[in-house]
Amino acid sequence: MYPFNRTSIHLSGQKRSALDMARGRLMLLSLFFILTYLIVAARIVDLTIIQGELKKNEETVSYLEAEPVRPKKNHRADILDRNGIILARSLKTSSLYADPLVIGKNAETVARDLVGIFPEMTYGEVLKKLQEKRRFVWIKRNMTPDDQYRILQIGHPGLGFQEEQRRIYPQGALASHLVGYTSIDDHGLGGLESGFDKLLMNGDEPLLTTIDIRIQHALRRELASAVKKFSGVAGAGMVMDVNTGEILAATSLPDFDPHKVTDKDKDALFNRLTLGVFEPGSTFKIFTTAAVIENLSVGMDKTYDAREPIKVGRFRISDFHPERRIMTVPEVFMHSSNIGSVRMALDVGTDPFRHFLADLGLFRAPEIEIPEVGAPLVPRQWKEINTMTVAFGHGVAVSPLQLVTAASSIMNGGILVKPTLVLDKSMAEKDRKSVRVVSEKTAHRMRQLMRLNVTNGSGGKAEVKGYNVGGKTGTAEKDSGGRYEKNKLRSSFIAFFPAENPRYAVYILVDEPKGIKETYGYATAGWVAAPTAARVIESVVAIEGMKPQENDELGGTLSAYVKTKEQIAKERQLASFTAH
Amino acid sequence: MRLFRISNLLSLVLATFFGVLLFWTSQSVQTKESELAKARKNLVREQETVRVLSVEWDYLNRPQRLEKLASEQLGMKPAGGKGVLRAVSDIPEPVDLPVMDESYTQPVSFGAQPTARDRTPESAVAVPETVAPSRVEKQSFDRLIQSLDAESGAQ
Repeated sequence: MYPFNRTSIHLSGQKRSALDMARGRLMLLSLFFILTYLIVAARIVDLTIIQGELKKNEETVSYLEAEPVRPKKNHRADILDRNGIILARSLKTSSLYADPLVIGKNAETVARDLVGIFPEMTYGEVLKKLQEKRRFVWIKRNMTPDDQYRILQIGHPGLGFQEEQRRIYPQGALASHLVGYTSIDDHGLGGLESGFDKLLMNGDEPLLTTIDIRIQHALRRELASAVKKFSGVAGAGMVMDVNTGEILAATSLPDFDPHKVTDKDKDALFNRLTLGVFEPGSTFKIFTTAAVIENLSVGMDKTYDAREPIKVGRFRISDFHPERRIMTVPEVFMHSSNIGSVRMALDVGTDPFRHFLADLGLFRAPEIEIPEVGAPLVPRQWKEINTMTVAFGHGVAVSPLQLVTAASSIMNGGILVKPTLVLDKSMAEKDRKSVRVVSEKTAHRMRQLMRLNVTNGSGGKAEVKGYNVGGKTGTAEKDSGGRYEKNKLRSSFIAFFPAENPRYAVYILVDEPKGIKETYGYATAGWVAAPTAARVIESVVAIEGMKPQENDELGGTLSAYVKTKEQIAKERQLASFTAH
Repeated sequence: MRLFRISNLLSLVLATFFGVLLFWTSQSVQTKESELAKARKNLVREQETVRVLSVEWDYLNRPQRLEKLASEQLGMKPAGGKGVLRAVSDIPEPVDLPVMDESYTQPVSFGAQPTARDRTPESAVAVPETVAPSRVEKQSFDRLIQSLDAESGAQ
């Protein structure tokens, strides 16, 4: 029989046993509760004191209601320079609108108040807007926070704010071609803004670029002053780290204000550095000379006959400064002899020469993070005549970016560099598969030749004392409709410093410079681009704090091979010096 | 039934106490939560302000402006390559030129004192003496620089 059965209690009928039973049940119940409370108490002690001590250092997790849901990123990520200076950032701005229906009879007072805050508005205009039969009129887009505060102060119920995102470029036009610009609805339309559009829209992390705004400014300042001084129509310039391919500064003039881009300034929007392809002229002789040294391992004493212009069909290839003599390799490079370069290229042979240039990346569009990339113009059918013209930089068109990249690949010791605008050290380390394009020996020879060109040749005005600049001038006549125009030049200069172990490449191009009195009417690269490059280099060393070299390792190392022209060279040098 | 037994009374008091305590706690938690929300809102606003201000900072510090101000207000020029020296010892010796100082402190309009330029040759002779420091002076300066280098190196 079940002792706690209700029926059994009833049946027994005895008061005493029922009470006993009730007491027993109460005891049982209270035991249960005591046990439960003890468990709860033990658990509290465990959580607060024992585990609490252990968890003290762990990250606290809050279960409070006030914990905000992680706010959704509603603005584009920033673009920064290599030192963290802001190049582009989206800011929340307020725009003021009015509801004419709510304002109603107060229109006149509201209009008067608004004109008081925005002096550029006229009373009549505002009043007209406020009296329109609509529920929504824009009064002012993108106000300053101060103006917004004052609107709040007057506190008219019919006025409201709408928050909008606006892209701000604190540096203005300074790096406009690299950074790019955005449309009204926050989509990238040019430069990095376009190249990384998706990433910038979704990412929280700012985009860290390789640009150094100080060097960028120095480059733009010097280039602009050169373009102005020589009344050029345009210019382009670049400073690149020859070992990593990082672009520290790059500018294309004219440039534009990224805040207000209109269709009208197509010319300003054109990036001459990466999108524009030109016939490079004599700067291309760097590659011709490197090809002959690399492929045929010629010595510096190898001579080329430059006495007579070369005639091919109806073409006639002659020198700009004819020497009319037999010249060694350094002399051909130094005097920028077209004839000598053609003979070098013919020695190398059409196919090896073409392959050499292709390996340097001169025949395909370069890879860079901005979408404005121009594909080079390369002869489709390559004949001997093409080899001859390409030898001195004609009949082929490449972008300055390609030219600088290819030349840097030779000058850094022979490792192909990949130009980049994004500062990502981890990626750069991983990604740097070293592809050798020329041997160390060839690279050394080229460094010697470039240095010689500054100490003894056409690049003399690029010299910065203590920094052993090496460089090559390039003066190309612009072609207009199949004819080369004698008076329309493109003067460029590519410099490397310090020449014995180059760190930076500096490229300067001035489009259609006109000769001035100071340069005796010359508008060639040696007079226009080389001194500009020197000033850029001076700024770079001051900004980077580069110490001057103790001695000039490469200076004069090739003088043994240029001695044949002793008399002639001396006379010419004397003439050019007395001339200015 | 003894309603006011001491234990009953005690439990009543305890229950009331804990009730009040619970109420008070929940109230203070609510207050704190609203404070927290307010602080978070302020934080977001401050962050937005900082974003604006840092843009303004970079805008005001853009190189074109700094250069313009430095040349207009301070007469400075862009640094050239000649400004960078290899070593501390290449720094020219700072030399006190009493003649120069005098002409500097004396207002030109009072003109009683002749300026450095129109001094008689005898003062011009005196100048070279002060320009070149004696060997002892130079050595002591070099020693000072070296000791400074050593100190900073030790740290």
